[in-house]
Amino acid sequence: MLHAKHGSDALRSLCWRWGKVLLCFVCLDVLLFRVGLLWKVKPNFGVGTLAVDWLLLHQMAERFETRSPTPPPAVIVGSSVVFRGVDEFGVSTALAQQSVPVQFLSLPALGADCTDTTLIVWNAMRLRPWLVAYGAASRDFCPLPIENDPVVRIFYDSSLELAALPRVGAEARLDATVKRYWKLYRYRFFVRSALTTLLSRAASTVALAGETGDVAGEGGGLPPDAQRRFGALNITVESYRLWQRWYQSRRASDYLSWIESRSSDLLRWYAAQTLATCGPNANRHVRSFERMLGFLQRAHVRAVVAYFPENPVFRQPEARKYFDPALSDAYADLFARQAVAHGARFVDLRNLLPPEDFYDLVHVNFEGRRKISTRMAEIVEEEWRARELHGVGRGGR
Amino acid sequence: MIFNTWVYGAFLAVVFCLYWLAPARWRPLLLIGFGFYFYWYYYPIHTLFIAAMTVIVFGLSWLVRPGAGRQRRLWFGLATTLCLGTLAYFKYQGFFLDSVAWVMGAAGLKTHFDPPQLRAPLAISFFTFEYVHYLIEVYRGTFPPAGARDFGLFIMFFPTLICGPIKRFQQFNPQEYSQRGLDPQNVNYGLERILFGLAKKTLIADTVAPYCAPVFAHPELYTWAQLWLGVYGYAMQIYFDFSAYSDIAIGSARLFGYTVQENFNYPYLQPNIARFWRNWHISLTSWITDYLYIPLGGNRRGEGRAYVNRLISMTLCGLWHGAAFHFMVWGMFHGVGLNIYRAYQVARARWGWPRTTDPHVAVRVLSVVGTFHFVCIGWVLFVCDLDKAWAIILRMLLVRP
Repeated sequence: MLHAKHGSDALRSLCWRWGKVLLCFVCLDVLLFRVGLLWKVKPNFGVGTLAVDWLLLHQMAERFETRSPTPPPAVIVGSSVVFRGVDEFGVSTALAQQSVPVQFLSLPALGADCTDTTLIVWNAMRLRPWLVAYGAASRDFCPLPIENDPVVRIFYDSSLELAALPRVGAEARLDATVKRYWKLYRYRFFVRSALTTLLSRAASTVALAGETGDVAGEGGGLPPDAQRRFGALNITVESYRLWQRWYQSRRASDYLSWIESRSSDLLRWYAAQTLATCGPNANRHVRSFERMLGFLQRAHVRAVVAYFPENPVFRQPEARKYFDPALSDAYADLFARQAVAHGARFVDLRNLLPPEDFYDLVHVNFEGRRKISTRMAEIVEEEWRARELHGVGRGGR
Repeated sequence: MIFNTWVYGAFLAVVFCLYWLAPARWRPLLLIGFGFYFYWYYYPIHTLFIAAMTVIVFGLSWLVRPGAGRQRRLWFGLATTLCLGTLAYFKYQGFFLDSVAWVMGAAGLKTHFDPPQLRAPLAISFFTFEYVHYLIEVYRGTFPPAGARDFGLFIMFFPTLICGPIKRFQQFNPQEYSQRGLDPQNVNYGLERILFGLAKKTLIADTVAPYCAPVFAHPELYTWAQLWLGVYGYAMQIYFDFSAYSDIAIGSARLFGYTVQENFNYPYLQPNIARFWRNWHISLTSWITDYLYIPLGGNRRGEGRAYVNRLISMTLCGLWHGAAFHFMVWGMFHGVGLNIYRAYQVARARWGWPRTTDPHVAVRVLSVVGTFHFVCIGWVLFVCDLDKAWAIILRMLLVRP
């Protein structure tokens, strides 16, 4: 079939040329991921929640790709309740003070549902953890649109099949396979962001993204107590005044006014989270949760399901419209049952904190963060000592 | 199948292997079959439509050829009306009814049309133009009607089926190509173009896109300098996006030994708007010139008529890109630009200004920069509806704060 005039020379030239292209891709993969050049650039993902989420995922991917698996770490995963509630450094320091030689890693993703968390845990298995704690909240099981979210984009490859994320069509299956074996493809968003960051730094161009308020000045005028509890970026003078009003009155209606002053959508969203809408029955995220506990058990990794604190203000009659105790209890029951079924430990932290340690229904302020971190350090320490004492970390109990 | 997907890559690899393993006489049929599969993959029911249209146009082409009898003029009118009418029905029905309702509303007559929600067959604008070209050229006697296999392949050739380039039958010439053997140089060139196209799309177009979209969505949040940056970004995005698709189409065609017309040739580096249009979406520009501008009279009926013809051609060119007023105005904007440039050329000739073949580098740079900015302002009309586009342009030109 080949033209005689071109013959084998042309074919050799073709192979040589495309061999070089292939070699370039291999070199690029080695340089970016084996040598780790990609992780040396901290990309600028812009501003806003999504940008923070991408930053967390970038940090997570860096840990998965570069961190030595020895000594095996203890990791905590979950959504923003973990991001806000657990201080990785604080837990590590507390463990060190108790002479517990455990490396503690926090791997949260903002807005993550239980399926996202399952994906993160699946990828975190590369770190060979001996303990995985899931900081759970009932909202992790609400049926939000989850296709193509950042966690799925980066971490959902063909090594795992989740019922909550069905792969429809040949393209989805091919994409997942290529993503599994070709890191440059998997992390292309990070590569692109790193390149644009480098370019924009070099050119010092004008930023195109929409501007947010001047955050540097937002701490101005805030009382020290407000800064100590919430931090300068999370509260304003006006909203702190509303919080103080609640602090003095202790009325749920004042608390709701405080929340409403910050976000009008939040309460509407809470009201929509009921046993009927987010309950465990026929919930695709519950299947992901079971899958997570299943593969942790099979890998002999100790699993801890920690049901994170809920604000007791919402159990008051005035606020019951925004909180369904049946939903909370249904998940507590589910977590307890699944933990028994999969040899995991269930820790109910729902009543750990007083209302003044919260920022809303499930997110905590600095004081709440300190208390949860202390409790997490205790849990890890207990697990570690049990593991040391009985040698059970590698076989479940 | 979108070009920058793994499915297309796998599809191309399979078709490539089967094509070159098959006996030469079967190859065109294989390509036609895979062309139908390619189209079916998008929206199966429309495959019947394109198949039916192809059969009808093929049959009519035999009735319009020279020597087909006295009725051939009538058949030709019927055939072109059928092609363009189908395009109008699917693509412009809503736009037409909206326009009528608007005109009647302006005249004080209250009307309400409820057009059916039609899903236009994919790439209908592209293959309709290929049908019309084929019918016109057969009618003119440029070439005799082709056989069913060659015509089928001309229409259903999958690399160019979805987004061009709009082919010409006499250049495509399936009979000659199907006899050729596998040439490593063609494979080399084809893969190179595909890789180059993918790089353009993924590295440049897709990188720039997220920065531009917010600028057009909420222009009020941006300063005039940021608006300009957003428009520059969009100019890059649309060029690299579209030319990337053309590169992949040309590269894919070359893998099978077919040479397809180039569609872009450094359009942003052209010193005037006429040259820009000769180098931007070349296959469309040449189609508009050959089958619209020249039949309208071109510049053969005096300068005044040429201005009108240019404006009509460019307005319809704008409408080809989308059924909305802002596309129409975008086309008119370029038509006006072309007319102004033509007027400048006429004035130069009339007043005897010397025509330099090698202008000073500063003049060349200024010409290129000026043309690029004219095109950039046009992109605002292309992207946004008229009210928003007008507000953005006024702010970009510092007319409005």
